[in-house]
Amino acid sequence: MGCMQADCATLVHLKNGIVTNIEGNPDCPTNRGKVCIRGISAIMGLYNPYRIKTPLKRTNPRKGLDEDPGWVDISWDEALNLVAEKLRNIRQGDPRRLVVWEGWGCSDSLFITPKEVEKSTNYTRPGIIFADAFGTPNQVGSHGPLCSIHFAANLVHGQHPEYITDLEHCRYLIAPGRTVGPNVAVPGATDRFLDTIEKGLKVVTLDPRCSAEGSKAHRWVPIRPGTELAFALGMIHCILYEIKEVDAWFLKNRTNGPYLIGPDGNYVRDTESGKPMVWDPLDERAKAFSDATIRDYALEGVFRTNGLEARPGFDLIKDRMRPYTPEWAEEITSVPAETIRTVSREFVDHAQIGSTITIDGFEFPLRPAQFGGSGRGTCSHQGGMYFDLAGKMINMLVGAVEVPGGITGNRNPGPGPWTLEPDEDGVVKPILEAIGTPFKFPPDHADMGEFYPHKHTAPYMVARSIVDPERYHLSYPIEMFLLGGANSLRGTSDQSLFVEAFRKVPFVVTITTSFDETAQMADVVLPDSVFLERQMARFYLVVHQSIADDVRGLELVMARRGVPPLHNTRSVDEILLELADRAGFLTGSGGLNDVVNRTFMLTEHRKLDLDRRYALDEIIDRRIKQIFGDDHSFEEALTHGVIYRFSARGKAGYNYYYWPEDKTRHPIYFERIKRAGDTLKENLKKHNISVPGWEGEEDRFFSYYEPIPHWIPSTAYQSPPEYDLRVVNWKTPYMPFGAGDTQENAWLWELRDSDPYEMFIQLNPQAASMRNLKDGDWIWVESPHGRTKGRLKVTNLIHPEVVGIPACYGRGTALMNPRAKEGSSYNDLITSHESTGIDPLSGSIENSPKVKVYRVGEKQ
Amino acid sequence: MRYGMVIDLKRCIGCETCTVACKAANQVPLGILWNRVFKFERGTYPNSRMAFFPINCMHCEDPECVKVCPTGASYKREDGLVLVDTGKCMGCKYCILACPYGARNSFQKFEPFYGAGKTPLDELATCKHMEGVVQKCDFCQDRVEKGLEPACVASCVGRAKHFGDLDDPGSMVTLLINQRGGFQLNPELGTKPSLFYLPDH
Repeated sequence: MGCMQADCATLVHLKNGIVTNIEGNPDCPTNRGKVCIRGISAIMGLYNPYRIKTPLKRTNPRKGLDEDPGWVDISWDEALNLVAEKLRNIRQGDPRRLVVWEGWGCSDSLFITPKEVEKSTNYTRPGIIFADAFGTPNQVGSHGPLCSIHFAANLVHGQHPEYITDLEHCRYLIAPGRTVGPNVAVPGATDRFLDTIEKGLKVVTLDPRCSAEGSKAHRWVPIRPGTELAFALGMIHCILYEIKEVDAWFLKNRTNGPYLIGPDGNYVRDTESGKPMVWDPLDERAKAFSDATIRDYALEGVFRTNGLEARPGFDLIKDRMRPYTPEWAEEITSVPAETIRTVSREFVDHAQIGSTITIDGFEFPLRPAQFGGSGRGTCSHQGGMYFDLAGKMINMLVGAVEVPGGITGNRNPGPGPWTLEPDEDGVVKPILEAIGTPFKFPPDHADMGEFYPHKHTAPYMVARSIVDPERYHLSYPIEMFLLGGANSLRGTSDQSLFVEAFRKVPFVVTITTSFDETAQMADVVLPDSVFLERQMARFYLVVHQSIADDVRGLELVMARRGVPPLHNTRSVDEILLELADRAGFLTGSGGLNDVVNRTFMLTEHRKLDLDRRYALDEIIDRRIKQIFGDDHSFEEALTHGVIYRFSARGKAGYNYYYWPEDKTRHPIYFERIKRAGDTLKENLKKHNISVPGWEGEEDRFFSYYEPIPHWIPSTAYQSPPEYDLRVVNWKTPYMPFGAGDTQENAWLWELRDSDPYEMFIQLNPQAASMRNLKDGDWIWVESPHGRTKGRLKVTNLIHPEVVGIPACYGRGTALMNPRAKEGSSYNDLITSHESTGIDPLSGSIENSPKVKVYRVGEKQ
Repeated sequence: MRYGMVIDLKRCIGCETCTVACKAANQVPLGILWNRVFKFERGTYPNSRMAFFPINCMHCEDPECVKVCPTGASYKREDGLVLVDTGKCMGCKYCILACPYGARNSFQKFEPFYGAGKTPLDELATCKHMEGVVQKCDFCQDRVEKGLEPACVASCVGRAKHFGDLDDPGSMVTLLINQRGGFQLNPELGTKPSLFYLPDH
């Protein structure tokens, strides 16, 4: 449906050619036959009269969000030729001069959505087929800096995009700052979640606000936003020092906890084999970790080996956690120490350390408890990656990683790099963001991936490097933006910075459905067909949020015929295919066909001939055949709506099955992070530079590159004392993303108009009365970086030190549905400036800066 | 056969998919909602929770709307559905006042969904509904006749809604009401709703 989740196969009803209804396809296991409020409302998106109806060219050279572009209608031929010519010229010189922006508005596209789902990228980096064929490394997500949640999963269990909850067996879930489905009404996931609650799942929602999901929870634990790391460290301390129950077997055999660490913080390595060493307390000597004579592993102690004093990583961790008492954590988080103790105790009890379950005759550890980190609300802070990693540590303490009940990764299990294959040090191979971008100077990437090698996405860095290329060492000019369903002018921070960057780029082309901010700044607009009009196949290779046996091991493609386009629009993939052809990189070695072959791993007769053009349907057909077999087809998928099979059921559905017992180890001492930091430091020194924005504060930034997560007060909270609240933002069923133009949608506006929470700025009664504010007042919310206004709703569902602003409203342009401008713009409050709270590891920006509120009209 | 509905408040997540499904299935015009989900909160911080309460027509056994209708346009069918014969409705709106659940609506003049002009759905709505007369949830009688569930029930993302025969002791609705202590909204008003709620705790 175009929403990034894309787990929903749909049935579209037409009456005399008019789309009257949308329902879930009951034959599709992922969404359990349902489609959500946004899916049904897509009908109103189709018939939105404010849509872009034909290709456009700008005649007013001055670009601005409030500047009339002077659009003229042009034909597709003229539009495509204009764009293709620019592409051709850029490609003939330095192809890096093109930045390709992708976003959730085109999440169903084959050619512009990152293909990290594909094993063909070797899990090293996501690749966009169109951009790869063109030859530019500048492939940037417009989304992401508010949602940098992937690094820890990429590192700890070699999985992407994140951890998910095994609802089949989990009975105690600590859910910080995210939803398993209900908060945005994800079909399928919501149903599974509610079923599991009925089976006895206890949920602890750690969140500054009480959401729909929190309202179904066993406990709502309100917490000061941005302090979740302190909560996690407090839990670790509690488990290690007070409860003193851990899964020693797991720690010894399936983590690098026993690996000896020398005074330099690195592994102590066997001089002969080079392998990391452990201390065998029964034989009283150090051995290589893979030594067959090992009888036991020491987790604590100080030992001498290789002439050095060495300690197991676990010992160093335990030491580091010593100061993080629940009382210490209470001070920072506002969560009572007693609650931290109770939750820790419940967690350990429910983990049932030592218990097993037999599935298909194979014995697995069973751990029906998990700490589910990886939430946007918790990871998107400075220190957010430390939080996510600390959360994984909590799971590792009780052995709840990649076993029934515990946290598991998104991908279908099976032999291969998506599972837990160990590297030469015996530790799970990292993938994607945990491998990161190799250093190069001057940087190749406009998004500064060389300086933030493990980042998720950094669209703001593209803006910064374009506006100040000298400071950011951008050694070539950016000549063109090509955007596909992407809007970094609305969905990120620092709008004026982005406007400046967009102005500087000589040629901007956007593929979009609405007169959004990117259209406002574009030279050429190529109108995308809306989801309903796109004939598409969506490959489901990733489970979202949660898994249960009904979708375990599922490989699925869902397809739907497009409704005939209402206007003179084309679908994004048709546009990109045409552009590649006209610009001369469709055919030939390294062209689009070639990249398609590699990305979709097409073999034999399914491979595209490099020298001819294929229709989109034909490419999809070959991909389906490659995955499901030659007796399947796109036509079949279109007719039935889905083709699926289960490739890994029962015991084969768990990664532990492929790498059981001591065959692999998860990192708990994050040696790779330290190594990455050391490497970056060396590289910077070699070139005698600092990371731009880090000058004079290198120590502070590098303190996020240490092997053990620890508490560092974030600079985001060092604002002047007048900013005495923290703002939080959350997704809602009306608007989990900007994709789908829900901010123009008439049906959704009807509902927003009567919703008591959606369009309101929310404050706790104590916070309101302290400031003499009451329900219904118009107020400003102001951070050091910007401000926005809205109507106040006083509610008990939020922490007293917090201001809540839902979704992404308050922006919009002159040609959009005027209603699109209504509401408050949380994005005006945040910033990506280096000094104000970027997490150096993930590139995430601070989601909860400090703010103040006051009544509109009142002097400040 | 006595059609009734059960709403499991433990499973309702307040997403309003049902509300939009109803709009789509019944071409409900702008400004009118046949199905609504009330959202409110219980308790004081930090012991507070969100609560959700979907409401549509109760299809009461003893409906006030039928009693006050001067033309007989409002009637209760044998199978339990309370319906409006729009041919007979003269738009006096006594029924709107009489219904204790606010289930009835009418509109004076069609407004298009979008300010910029009519969409095909506006055209369809114009065909299906008349200005001035009363309209409300009809348990999706067209769908029910074809053996389908009402749109709100079929679309519920949380599977919180159930529809069936209250006279059948073995039907899901009957079983749920008995096993989970199903209750009606404002039973003291004596209208005997056919819509039951299952408590959320």
